[in-house]
Amino acid sequence: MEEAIVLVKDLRKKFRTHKREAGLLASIKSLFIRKYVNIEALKGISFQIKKGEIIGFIGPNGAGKSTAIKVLSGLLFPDSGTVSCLGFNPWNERERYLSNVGVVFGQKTQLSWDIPPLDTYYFLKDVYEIPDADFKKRLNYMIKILEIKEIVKTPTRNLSLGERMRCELIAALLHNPTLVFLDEPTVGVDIIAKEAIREFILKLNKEQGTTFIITTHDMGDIEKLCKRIMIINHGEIVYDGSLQDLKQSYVKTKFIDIKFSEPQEFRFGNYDGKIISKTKIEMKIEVRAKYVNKIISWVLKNYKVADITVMNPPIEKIITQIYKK
Amino acid sequence: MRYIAAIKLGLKEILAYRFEVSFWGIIALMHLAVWYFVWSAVFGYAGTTVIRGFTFQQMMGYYIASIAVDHFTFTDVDQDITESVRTGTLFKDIIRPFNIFLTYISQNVGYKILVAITQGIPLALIAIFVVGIKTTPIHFVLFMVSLALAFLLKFSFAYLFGMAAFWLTKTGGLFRIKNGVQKFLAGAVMPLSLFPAGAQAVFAFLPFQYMTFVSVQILLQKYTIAESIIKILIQILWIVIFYAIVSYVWQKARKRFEVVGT
Ligand SMILES: Nc1ncnc2c1ncn2[C@@H]1O[C@H](COP(=O)(O)OP(=O)(O)OP(=O)(O)O)[C@@H](O)[C@H]1O
Ligand SMILES: [Mg+2]
Repeated sequence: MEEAIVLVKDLRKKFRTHKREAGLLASIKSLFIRKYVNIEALKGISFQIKKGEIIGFIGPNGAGKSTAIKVLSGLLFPDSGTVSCLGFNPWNERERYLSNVGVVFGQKTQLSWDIPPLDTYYFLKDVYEIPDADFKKRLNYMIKILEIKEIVKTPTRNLSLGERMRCELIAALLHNPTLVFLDEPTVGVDIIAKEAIREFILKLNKEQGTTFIITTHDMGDIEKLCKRIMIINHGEIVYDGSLQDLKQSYVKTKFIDIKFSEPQEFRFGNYDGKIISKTKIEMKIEVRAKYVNKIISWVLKNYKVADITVMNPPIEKIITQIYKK
Repeated sequence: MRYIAAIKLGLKEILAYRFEVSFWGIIALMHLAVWYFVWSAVFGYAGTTVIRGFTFQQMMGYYIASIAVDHFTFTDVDQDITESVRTGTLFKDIIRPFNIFLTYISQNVGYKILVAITQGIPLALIAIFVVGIKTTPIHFVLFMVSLALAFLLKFSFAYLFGMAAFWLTKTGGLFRIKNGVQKFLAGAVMPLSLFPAGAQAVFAFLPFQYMTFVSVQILLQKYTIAESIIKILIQILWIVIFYAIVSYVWQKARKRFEVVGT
């Protein structure tokens, strides 16, 4: 359980693209003069991942998350740095490495477009040389928890986004890979399907010890799945640790919900705080975390209170603070 | 076996288009009809029964065989590659543990199974019962070998062109030119033996005649067995050459995937 199966050291990746203004004149100009710009998508990131971890890659748009996943899954070549996954170099030992890896890019499909996903699954069975019994068992199991018994028999091009996404997951996981990359696996998926996908990932992780690296913009995914998160911003890892620690070190304020037993006119006494919302009978305030206890006892002493709850700010708020740095 | 699986996948994919595919058979017959009328007119106008060593019946024999070979060796892997580069779905082939070139060939072989049924059977029936093509068992076997090789050669050539999509934004025009030139020089438009000796000498050094013409000549017993075997060996040589170029270009193309396909 304890050995690192992914070792990344000082990974860098630059993209060279050319920019031009809109318009006909600009297009003609760009035939002759091209301004190339280098985009440093990854500026030397390093990390290690142990077997059985579920890692959440989060960060704002364009941060470099997908780039990192593409490099690790062997799609892109890095400019420098070393990568070792499952003991392989993803580029030089491609076939042997990929036999143990599963990949989902939520934005693109890996299912054959004109035929039902089920036909792709039978193809993958032979590609990954999955024994008959294992194949049947896994397929039935996955179809059952993702609830797509009929869907897998429909041609891919006729599937809705959320239906397709569940089918994509099966395609990536049929061969029981040790290491799985999921790039936005819940994008465009409804709440029920999201729950199913999350349950499914957790189950595989628990039962098979599958290691997952997931990028997402959905904090629900993160809170449900990932013990450890890496926040990437501008091509750098700005936080690598547990979600719990992140909350503790970044949570400077807490929210307090108060219900009064009779209408009251509330005023902060000597304490600092912000009123978020307020009616005669109910209110929500934001206060410095340090003073929560004192404020509560002060409120209880001075007002007639029916109910009082303390809450952390939503994780989105914490993350936004970090993104803005 | 993963490549057998790719053949099956190819067959399943093409079966999704079975309606369209059944038209290909009709198109093949229409091609034949066009050439029938063209050459009837030419023979009638010339007022002879033999043109450059071909009787009318032999000419029809050539066309039916060359249409069969041309259709059977047809591949649009060049467009497939362009499309998967353009849409980025090529990623799915890169993340799977197989040789992409071999997988695409196998998928195309899967398509051929349907082509053999929808076009091979009607053309073969017409060839035997209407035109009256005759061949020997040994020539037929050699023909089948050279037909398979012609397909591999055409495929490798198309694959090479398909990779142009890694450098060019529009490939449609390029492919059309390629297809036209290839068809002509392969002898799918006109028997290459109708050309002057000088031109034929040049063709001998090009790969194109090994894509159609040579297979047809073998079937029609224009070559001795020994000559046929030599032609087959040259086909193999060309395939090896193209495969080497394909592998080399692929290494370069692969690195450009990020520019065009992600
Ligand atoms: N193939 C490419 N060619 C040029 N630039 C690219 C390419 N791929 C990514 N980039 C650029 O690199 C940066 C990182 O992109 P990346 O796709 O990794 O972001 P991301 O973190 O996945 O963002 P998102 O949350 O929007 O998916 C962006 O500025 C992007 O424009
Ligand atoms: Mg992304």
